[in-house]
Amino acid sequence: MAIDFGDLKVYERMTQDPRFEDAYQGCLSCGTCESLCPAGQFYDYNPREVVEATGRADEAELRNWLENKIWYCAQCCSCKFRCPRGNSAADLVMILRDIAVEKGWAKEALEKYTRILKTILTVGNQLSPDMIAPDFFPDWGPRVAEMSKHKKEWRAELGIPGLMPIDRSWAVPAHVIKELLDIWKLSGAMDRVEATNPFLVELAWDNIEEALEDEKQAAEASHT
Amino acid sequence: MENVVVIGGGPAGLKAAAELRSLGLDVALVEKAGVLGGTPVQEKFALLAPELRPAEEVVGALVKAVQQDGVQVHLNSTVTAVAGQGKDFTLTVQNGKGEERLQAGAVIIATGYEHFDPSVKPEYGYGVFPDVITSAQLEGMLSDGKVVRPSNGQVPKKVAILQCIGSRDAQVERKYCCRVGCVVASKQAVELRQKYPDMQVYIFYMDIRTYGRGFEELYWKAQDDFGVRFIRGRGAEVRRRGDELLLKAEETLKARASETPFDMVVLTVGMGPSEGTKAMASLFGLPVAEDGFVEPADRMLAPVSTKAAGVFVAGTALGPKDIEDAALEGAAAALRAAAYLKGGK
Repeated sequence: MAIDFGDLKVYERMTQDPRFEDAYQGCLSCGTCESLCPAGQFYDYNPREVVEATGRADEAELRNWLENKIWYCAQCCSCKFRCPRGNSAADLVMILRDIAVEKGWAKEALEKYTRILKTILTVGNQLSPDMIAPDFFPDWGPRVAEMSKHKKEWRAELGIPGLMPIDRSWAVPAHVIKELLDIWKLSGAMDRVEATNPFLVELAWDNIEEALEDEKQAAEASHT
Repeated sequence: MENVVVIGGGPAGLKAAAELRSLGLDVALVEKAGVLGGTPVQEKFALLAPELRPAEEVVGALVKAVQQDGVQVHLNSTVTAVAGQGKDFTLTVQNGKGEERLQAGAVIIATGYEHFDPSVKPEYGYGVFPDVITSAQLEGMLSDGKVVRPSNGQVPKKVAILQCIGSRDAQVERKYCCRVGCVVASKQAVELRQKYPDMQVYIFYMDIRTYGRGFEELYWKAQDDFGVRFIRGRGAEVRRRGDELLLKAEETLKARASETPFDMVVLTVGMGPSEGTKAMASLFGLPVAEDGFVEPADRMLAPVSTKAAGVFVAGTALGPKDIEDAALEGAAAALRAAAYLKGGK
């Protein structure tokens, strides 16, 4: 997808982000970030490039990243916690992603996350413990694997409902979701969703109206 | 009172003591260890860069000068208290047998450095994988004449030397350069290749900083005559696969990350202020800089003087440096102390 950047000054816009000061210090070009980057193992992706491009205020390279590469990062933040210079390529990527979302350039990249976004907007969370299996993360060690094996019984004993991937890890009451939506609206997050997925915003508000009504009826029923 | 107490018996303190004697002053030298020579002796340095002279020959000469010049040497001793002020100090010195008091007109602090402890950065596996060792440990092996993998006692076939471990690293609050790591690694690589011509030796670096006279020549020699392989990129992580170590690093000049097997990984560890340096700074009320080393009165104009009258500093208590520079500072501090006692400032 070719982006029409208009007169956007990418570097200047990045420096206005409150995260920028912590995210970029300078660069030793040591390669620690790239050595550890899981995305770098699978894509033509090198976090050092975005850090160095930022240091040079390299407008062409930053635009190049906005076109595509910013979507390869998994936000694992290995780079952030190991960089000897105290940079965070992950945060620079996040700043660029926010620019892309704000400008409406993120549609294609975020399309595949529509279902997740919908779940968050309608039920308050989208993670279920079953979605993350220890088989995929051997570095978690034997303790987590053991805990995972018994999670059904343990959760039942603790009274925590929900475990299926299609469900959610815990139930969020409708009035709490309404509060979340209000917060997202006030903070501008809903505008960002709208820039990418306008129908989702509509759906979220419709959904919460119904859910609140259900909650109200359930409360009344339990009183009588 | 025309006598000086020198605290610390490494290259800087030894040189200071010998120079003070040559100026006719009485000198007492207080050393924490049971032997003179400082870190080069305690950690068994092998050859010294860049001339590849045995450390013993150089440091031995400094020790000999002190022993022959009538310096009063106190081994196994630490200064635990100070009373009085410039020209009339009383130092309390603790040794194995008890306490004694030393009178001094001036004091020279030459309490040195200690190597960075790489277990603070667990990603390198130091203390977990036996074949990950420090540059100081390699130095000891070279001195003993045999370099082997601690895991199996075999000579390693392929060695990676990782630069800047605990240097130039904001993650561990060590932003500064150790100044000697580049030439030490070049030297160690030359020694390894000299001794074991079949061994492959790689040095992973960010920048090669061979600032000293003869340093760059040794770096060239490592490439020209000894086939040492220099890879531009900081070693990032070490893990184990069976019998071998896997090193993650980006070859930055090719923008290519890789994981490469090695038999042994050597961590070129940085330099920080020693416990003794921290203790003496606190005892004498000397300011320390952000890097933890003693801040002299003026880095350019009064580099071995301090804000405390009659207290002088030399060597790696003032920051990382090589033996030559440490000894030079020892001589400079001796001159300042003597001038101070002769009525100057």
